[in-house]
Amino acid sequence: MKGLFKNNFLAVWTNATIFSVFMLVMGIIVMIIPDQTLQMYFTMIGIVGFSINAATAIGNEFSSKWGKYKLTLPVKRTDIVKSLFLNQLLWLIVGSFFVGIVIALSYMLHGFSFEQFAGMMNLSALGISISLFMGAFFIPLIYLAGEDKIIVFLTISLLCATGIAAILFNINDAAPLLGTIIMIISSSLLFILSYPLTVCIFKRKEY
Amino acid sequence: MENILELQQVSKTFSKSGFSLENVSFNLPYGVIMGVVGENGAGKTTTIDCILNTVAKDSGKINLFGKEMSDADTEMREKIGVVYDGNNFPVYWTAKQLAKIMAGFYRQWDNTLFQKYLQDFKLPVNQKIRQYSRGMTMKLAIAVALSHRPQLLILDEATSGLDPVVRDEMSDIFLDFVQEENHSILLSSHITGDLEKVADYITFIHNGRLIMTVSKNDLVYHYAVMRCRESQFLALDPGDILAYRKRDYQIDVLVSDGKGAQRKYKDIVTDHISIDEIFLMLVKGEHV
Repeated sequence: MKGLFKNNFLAVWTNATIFSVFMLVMGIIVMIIPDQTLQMYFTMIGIVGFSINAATAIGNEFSSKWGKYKLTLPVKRTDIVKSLFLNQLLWLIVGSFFVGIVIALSYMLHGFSFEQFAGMMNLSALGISISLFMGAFFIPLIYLAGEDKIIVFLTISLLCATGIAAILFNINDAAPLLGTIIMIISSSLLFILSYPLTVCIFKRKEY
Repeated sequence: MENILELQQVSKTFSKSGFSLENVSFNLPYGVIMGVVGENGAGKTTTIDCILNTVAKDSGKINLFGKEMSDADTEMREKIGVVYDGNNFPVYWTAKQLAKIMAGFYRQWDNTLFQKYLQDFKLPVNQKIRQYSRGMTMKLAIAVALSHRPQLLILDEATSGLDPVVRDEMSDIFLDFVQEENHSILLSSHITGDLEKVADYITFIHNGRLIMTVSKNDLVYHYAVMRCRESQFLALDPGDILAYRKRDYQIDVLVSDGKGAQRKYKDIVTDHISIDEIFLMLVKGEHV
């Protein structure tokens, strides 16, 4: 598993560093300018962006014979899939921390100048849910239908994830917290259920 | 002789392409290099894929180190080094990063040995694989395959597309590897010249079927081609004919015992034959 983690981390690292620079610049702007709309965009882009980076890295591996080669290494197929899901979670946490730190610094500099602090938390939950839904759709799809369709499946997964999360987010206008809880629980559940499904698909996968 | 690898009646059909590997059987003993020869699409890679479980065989039995390898047999895969044709690793890695990753996969990973191979092969440690030449990527793959000290090396077209100098270097490495008697190599190639230099046994595959497995010495020292006129050909004992090809004014006949044929058919010219020619005769020739 150690090799798989290193492999996955390295696959994301190059793109993530570039994305981090972009996020750092955005983060500085967010910290300097106390604007809630800007903070909202930053939160969404940060959380979902790192997850997209992690997902695209799966595709990078298939540009060579590495996907096939990995099956000849002393690792189980189950572990290969597990490492991908854990990698997806890892970068979701990285994105959330990144966003959290910048928003916290912004609040430290300017104080709680907005009324909608709960709204920001809900938005973070929305970003996390979109990321989880996206991972839950994208990883099994890519093993099911082929690595050459990375872009289209990533787009479909992201759009579906955003759509579902948005529907759940607004499920009950009278009790917004309920929608957030349902959204977080269902995205987490789907992400967890997606793992055995991907294992099942990957066990039948031939190279 | 004990076998490191045994294939018994291995079959695999791809419904989309319609290609079938049919009842392939051969044994690879310890301390031996076996070359698998076949034209492109003959089934060499499918055979290797079945051995390595990257495709699931439909039927038959494959024993590695005396037992069938399942996905859970990670211990067994510690003892196998694999080299595929082309880019085995993501091209955005460097050899240095690759070493760190491989150390995470193999318990027996020997970084000192890997660094030695990199030095011997003159491979830049901090350069991205993308910038390597084809020869360099293959050398890197071979260095990786050897650096966890495997017992069995499986190489699929690993020397194809390499220049003769690099191929020669590779051949020396393979010969060095099998100096240890519990080491073996299965090497598929359509460049028979490489195999002629290193292989102890050659397995011929054509259209998904195994034609034969034979020792290289037999091929080199005993196999021969008789250049016959039609009347001479008609007088031959059919049991002596492995395959024959009609030329403009003669019929070339492949025999497995050249010296015996020379004694038996004194008026027929008998020539030595290369593995390439043997393969062509077996594949393109007619059979009695």
